[in-house]
Order: sequence, then C-alpha cells, then structure tokens
Amino acid sequence: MSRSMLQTTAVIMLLVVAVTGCATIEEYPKASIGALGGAAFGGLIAAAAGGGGAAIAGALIGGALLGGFAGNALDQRDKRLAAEAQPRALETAPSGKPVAWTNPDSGHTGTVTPVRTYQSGGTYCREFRSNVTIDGKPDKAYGTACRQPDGSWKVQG
Amino acid sequence: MMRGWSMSVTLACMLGVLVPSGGMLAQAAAPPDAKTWVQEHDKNGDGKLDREEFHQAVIESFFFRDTNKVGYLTINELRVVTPEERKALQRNGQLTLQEYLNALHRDFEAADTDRDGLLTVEEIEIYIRNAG
Repeated sequence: MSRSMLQTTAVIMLLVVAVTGCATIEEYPKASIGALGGAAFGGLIAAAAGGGGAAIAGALIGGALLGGFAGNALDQRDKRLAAEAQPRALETAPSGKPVAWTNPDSGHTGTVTPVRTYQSGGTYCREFRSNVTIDGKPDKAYGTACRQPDGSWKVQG
Repeated sequence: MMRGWSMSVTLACMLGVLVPSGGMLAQAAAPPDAKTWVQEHDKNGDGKLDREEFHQAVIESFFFRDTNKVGYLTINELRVVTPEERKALQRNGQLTLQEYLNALHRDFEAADTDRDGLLTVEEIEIYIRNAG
C-alpha cells in the first residue's frame, strides 16, 4: 500500500471515529465502526415489517448497536428480539439489571443492561451494555440512548 | 430535631423507591431494606456508598419516580412528600432533578455521622431509625 493510500485510510478512520464519537473506540474498534450500517439496516427491517414511527425508532436502537457485533452473525429474529429488549431495558430496568432475550431457533441469546442514568437538557439518557452469545461465543458493545418525546429511545452517536 | 426528621424521611422515601421488591415508602409497611439498597448501588463493592454512587442512585430514583418522564416530579408522583419537597413544590408545583439531588445530598451529610464521605448500611439504618 502506498504512503498516500495509508494517509487517506488513516484520515477516513479518524473521520469515522469523530462521527461516531464513541468513547469505547479503543476497546471495541469494530463495534464502533460498524454502528452506522447497523442503524440503517435496523430501520429498513422495521419499515419492511410495516412498523410505525415507534417501531422504527425501536429498531434503530437495536440496529445501531447490533450492527457492531463481529461478523453481524445475528439473524433477523435475533435482531428483532434484541431490538425489543433494548427499549424495554432502558424504560424499566434499574442500572445493573439485565433484560434478557433468547432465540430458541438459533440458540443465540443476549442481554441489555442499563449501566448509568442521567439527564441532559431535561432529557433522560441511559448508558447501556449489550451482550450477545452466538454459537457459544460472547460479544458485547456499549452505547448511550436518550428518550425521545414520543417515548422511544434513540442511540446517540 | 425537626431538621433531622425531615431529612430522614427524604432518604427513607428514596430507599423505598429503590428497594428491588418495589414500591414507595408509603406502599411498604416494613422499613426499606437498606442493606439491599446499598448492595444494589455499591459499584466498587466496598460495602459502602460514596458520593458518586449515591448521586447515581438518586438520579435513578428520580427517573423511576417520574412516571410520565417529563423531567420533573409533581405531587402525584410523590406519594410521600417531605418538607423539602413540599417547599420546592410550592414554588411552581414541580420538583426538578437538581432540587431532588440537593435534598438527598443533605441527607447524605446528615446520615454520614463519622464524616468519612461514605454511607454504611448501619449509618442509613440508624438515620432512618432516629427519624421514627
């Protein structure tokens, strides 16, 4: 690879980091970079399923985080189950208490755990951790979501 | 003594909200389980709550008490109204997170009798017991 190509690649990677603004970039670089594609994909699934605004918002939350998991090995049902668990966890679970999902078809499992709650400009936001186990291999990602006026939760960054 | 009583009730209210079995203090005939509550929020596992752990616990309690998620508490969301809360409510009918935090951090100071900046289960239990 030429020197100029390396420089271009480095600049692109820095821009991705700046756009995603993820504090865990060093620990989970793939998860951070994969987030944008996952978000778009999650919205697409919800729209295809005929979901309304709230359903799309929920799917965006799931998609944004799940897109970061290595290899994106979750199937459609996994993604739907995880996307349903996320707003439920954010709305109802105390910090440290996981909300679990299981797909009996694939055997994949996961949890969504709020880890910190705060207010930003009168809006509630919660940091959370999402764990999945795919074929016995655990993976995890971190995110922050803020509650929207319509009651949905939107992942930040 | 009146000052101590009012602060104890404030802390007890929060404990009532956060006890895992659920419910505000008004719902619970039994006193809040301080041990469970401390364990829930003791992030570093030292068996005590420092200021930051306590602060997070207060914010979280506010989040769950704010049932319609408008960012402030109203009289309907406060089944037990302490004097501090009543004062704030009388101003505009709302209790902001900052007012809630201020009241509960005053509780922290009053309950922390050895002034080490940490709340133990014993200190909380004594503080609540003295309120009775």
